[in-house]
Amino acid sequence: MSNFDQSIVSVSGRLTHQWDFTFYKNNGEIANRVRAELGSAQKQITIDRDGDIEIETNEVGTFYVTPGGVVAAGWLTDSKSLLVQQEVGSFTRTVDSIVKSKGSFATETYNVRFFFRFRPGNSLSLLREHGFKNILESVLGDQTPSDTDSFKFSTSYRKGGFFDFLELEATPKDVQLRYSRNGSGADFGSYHKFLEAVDFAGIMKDLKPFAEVLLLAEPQGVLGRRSLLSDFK
Amino acid sequence: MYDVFILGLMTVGISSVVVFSYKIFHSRVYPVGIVRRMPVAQECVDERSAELPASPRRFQQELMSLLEKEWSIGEIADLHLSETDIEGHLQRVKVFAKNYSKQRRPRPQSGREQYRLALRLGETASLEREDSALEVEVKLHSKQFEDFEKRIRRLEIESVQKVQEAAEEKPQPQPPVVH
Repeated sequence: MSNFDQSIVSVSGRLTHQWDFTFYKNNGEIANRVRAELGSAQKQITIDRDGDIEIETNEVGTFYVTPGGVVAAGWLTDSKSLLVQQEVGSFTRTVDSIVKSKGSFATETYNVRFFFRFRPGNSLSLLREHGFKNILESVLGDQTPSDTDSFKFSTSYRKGGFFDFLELEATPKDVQLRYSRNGSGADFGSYHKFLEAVDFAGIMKDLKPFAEVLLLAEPQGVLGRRSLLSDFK
Repeated sequence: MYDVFILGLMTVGISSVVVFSYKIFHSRVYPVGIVRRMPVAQECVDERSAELPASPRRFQQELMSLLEKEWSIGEIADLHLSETDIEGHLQRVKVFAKNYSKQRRPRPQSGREQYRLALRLGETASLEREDSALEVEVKLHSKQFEDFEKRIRRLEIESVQKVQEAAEEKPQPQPPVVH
C-alpha cells in the first residue's frame, strides 16, 4: 500500500437549493425532523446564533443546515476508503436525509471537496523545484526571487460535465491541497447520485503522483496514518 | 291658519338644519372656510393617489373590480372617494395582498377584508419596510456561504492537523530488549 492510500483526507460537501423563505421560522421543527431521521447517527444538534442548524455526527463530520442548502465538513477518512462504496454511503445518506427533512426544494448545485495537508520538510523549495518556479518566472522573468515565504495557486476548469477547482497553498509549515468538483442540480436526482458520478478513483489517481512527492519528503513519524485515524475515530 | 304657518316654518327649518348638517359632516370644508381634519387613512390614500394618473377608463375598470369583490354600491358611495382615491385604495389593497401572500399568513377572503386589514396593519410605509427586510435576508444568503467557507477551511485544517500531531506524539514501538 502506498503512502498516498493511507494519507488523511478531509471531505466536505455542499448542496444548494432554492431559498427557503420560512426557514428561520421553522428551524426548530426542521431540527426535530433531522434528529428523528438521523437517529443514533447524530451526536448533537444545535441551532446557532444565526438561526442555522448545526449537526454533529458520530462518523461523518459536521453538517450545517441553512435556508439555502446543506453544508458538510470535517469528515476525516483516507484516500483508499474513499473508493469503498460503503464508507462513502454513510456520508451521502446523511446529506440526503437532511435534505429530505427540509422539504421539497429544487436543487441548484452539488459540490464535494477533498482536503489534503502535507508537511514536507522543505515545502517551498520542493514546490519550486517541482515546476512552480516556472510560474514565478513567467511573471517576474529574471527578477524572480531565489526564496519565497509563501505560495498560492488555483485553477478551475470543466471536466466531464463537472466544474472542477484545484487550489494549492504552501507555507514553510505545510502544503494544503484542495480539489473540489461541482455539478448542476438539474443533472442529478440526489447527492448520492452526484457522488456516484464524481469518480473518486479518477481524482485520486490524478492527484497521486504529486502527493507522493510531498509525502516522501515528510518526516517518518507522520507515516502510519491509517491505524492512527482508526484510533482517532 | 296661524298654527299651520308656524308648523310649516318649523318643518322647513328642521329640514334645512338636517340637510346642512349632513352636508357639513360629509364635506371637507366648513362654511367658514376651515379645512376639516382628514382621517389618517384618508391622508395616506391621498398622498399615494396624488402620484397616480387619473384615467376614466381605468377608473371604470377599478370600479368594476370593487363590485366584483362584492362591494355594494352603497359601501362604495359611503367611502366618498374620487376616481384617484379608488385607484389608490385598490393599489394599497393589491400591495398588501401581495405582501400578505409572501408572508404565507392566512389570506383574507374578500376584497373588503383585505382593505380593512390594509388600513389596520398595512400602511404602505411599513409594508415597504418588510419588503426591504426580505431583500436584505436574500442578500445575506449569498454572503452566507462565504462565512461557511471560512468555517469549513478552519475545520479542515484543524481536524487534519489534530490527527497528524497526534501521530507525531504517538510513541514509536520500541525494539524488544534482550538481557
